[in-house]
Amino acid sequence: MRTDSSEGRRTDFPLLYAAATLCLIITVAPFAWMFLSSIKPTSEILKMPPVWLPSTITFEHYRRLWSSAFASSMVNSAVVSISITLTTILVNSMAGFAFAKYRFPGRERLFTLLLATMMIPGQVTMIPVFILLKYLGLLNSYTGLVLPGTASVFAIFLMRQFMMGIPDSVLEAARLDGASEPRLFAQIVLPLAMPAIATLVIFTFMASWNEFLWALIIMLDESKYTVPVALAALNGQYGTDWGLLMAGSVVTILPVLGVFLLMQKHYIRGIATSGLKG
Amino acid sequence: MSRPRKYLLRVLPYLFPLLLLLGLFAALPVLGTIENSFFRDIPFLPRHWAGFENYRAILSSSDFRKSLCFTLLFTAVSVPIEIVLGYVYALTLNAVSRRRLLQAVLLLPWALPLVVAGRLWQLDTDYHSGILNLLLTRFGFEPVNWLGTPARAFTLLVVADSWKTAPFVAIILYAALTTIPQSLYEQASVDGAGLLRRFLFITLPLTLPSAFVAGLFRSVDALRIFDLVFVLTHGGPGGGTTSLSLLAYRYYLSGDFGTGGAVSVLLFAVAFLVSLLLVRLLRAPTEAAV
Repeated sequence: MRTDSSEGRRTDFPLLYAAATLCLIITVAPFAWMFLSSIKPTSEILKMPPVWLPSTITFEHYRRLWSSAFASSMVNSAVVSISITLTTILVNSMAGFAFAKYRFPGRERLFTLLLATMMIPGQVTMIPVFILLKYLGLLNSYTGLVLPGTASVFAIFLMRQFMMGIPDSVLEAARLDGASEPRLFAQIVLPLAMPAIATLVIFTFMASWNEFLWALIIMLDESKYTVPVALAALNGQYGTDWGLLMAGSVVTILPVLGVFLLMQKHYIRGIATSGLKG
Repeated sequence: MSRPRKYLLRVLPYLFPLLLLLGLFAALPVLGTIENSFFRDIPFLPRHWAGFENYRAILSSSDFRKSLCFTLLFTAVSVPIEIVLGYVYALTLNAVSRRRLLQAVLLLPWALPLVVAGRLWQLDTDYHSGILNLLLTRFGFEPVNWLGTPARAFTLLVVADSWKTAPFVAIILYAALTTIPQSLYEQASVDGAGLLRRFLFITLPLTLPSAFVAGLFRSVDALRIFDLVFVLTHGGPGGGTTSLSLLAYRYYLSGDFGTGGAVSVLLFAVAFLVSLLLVRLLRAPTEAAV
């Protein structure tokens, strides 16, 4: 067996494998049921007693999903989530840089004030934001869905903590070489902050992809629904169409899983070194 | 130009976008909500100043008290469970060798929209054909109507929420675990410390600050729980699982912006007080650990 001491101890406890297996079962069982339901014929989904494995595998639910309004909601969600993620990273890395690497009067007080906004529940600000967006003519628009989600306290916390770990000497050296401040930020600080950015990409993409209430309220046209809203709307007129819903759920997780696997390499380092240790 | 002002001019370009966004979508709405809560504002009647009337009415209503109890109890029960479960996940991740794949799999529930998670649990706990009742009957128990009583609906919500968010806690704890020097464990082993002692005297103190941050994030989230309740129990049975968020939403939906605003402000106050309390309560052990 390989031994890599830095990576942690190899286990010699059967107990731990038992724990790992239990964790896996708890986590995976509902997903397995979800996936199996999505390829079962409708008649077998709610059968009593339940059918474990489908008698015939059918992709009928996926085909129906594809020809429903759900397909366009995937595109909507992709546009919205990518916009939110990019804007969040730009806005918060800029602010994080200012908080981490510049001294200015009132810095600590301003940062504490920002952290306090974390306690504000989204449902509290919902109605006033709605009225504000109506006033700005941004209801039922992607801009209106994207903008309120981009100023994230978690994001600025993460960026600041991480950038505080970048040594000042690196910045000083670049300044001596004649780099302007914006160039310093774009070409030195941002690349060094990659682990934090990767972490933020995962958190933000996941949160915006899954956002429900706000997307439900602000988008009035069914053609502009995002995935979670479209999924909730899949509730048929005569009760839940479970086959369609489960197929939709399976499709919904795939992009998030993709982003996660893409960024996985960086992000544990991002959390570990950004001092989310408090 | 004075020095402080020069500094301010230099950072302003970096801060401006964030401050603009937070001002528009956090500060302004909060002020708006607070303002709303002092007005009587219901459909078909002119909006008029009400002072603390909305607060008085809501604080003396049994709906609010029930909702407050549920929200606090839900947070107090689910967050500790999530932290413990998060530790189990994180320690397991840290101990096995195929961690890349396991990590991705363990995170699956967290990647799922709450709406979907809610529906999934609905399917799993269906009285007639849910997998849970199937297992119960297989082992000789009576099937359970999981949404039948407030206590059962509460249990279901805690289970579903823990299942969904323990991976989030696990990731933060796991990151902390990776920063503990291996030599500490080796030294302790040489000194004859067993698994439990090593956990209690090395792992736990060194990861406590992370657990605290995770707990804080989770508490604030749990106090604001909306989606899961909305999908899974609709606040029932008998209003027994109506969270404060849902209560505010219901008032808004009925067009009663004043009362909805008052509930929202109270929810904010509760979230603020709880996080303040947590910070106070946990500052001592956390600082000792750092």
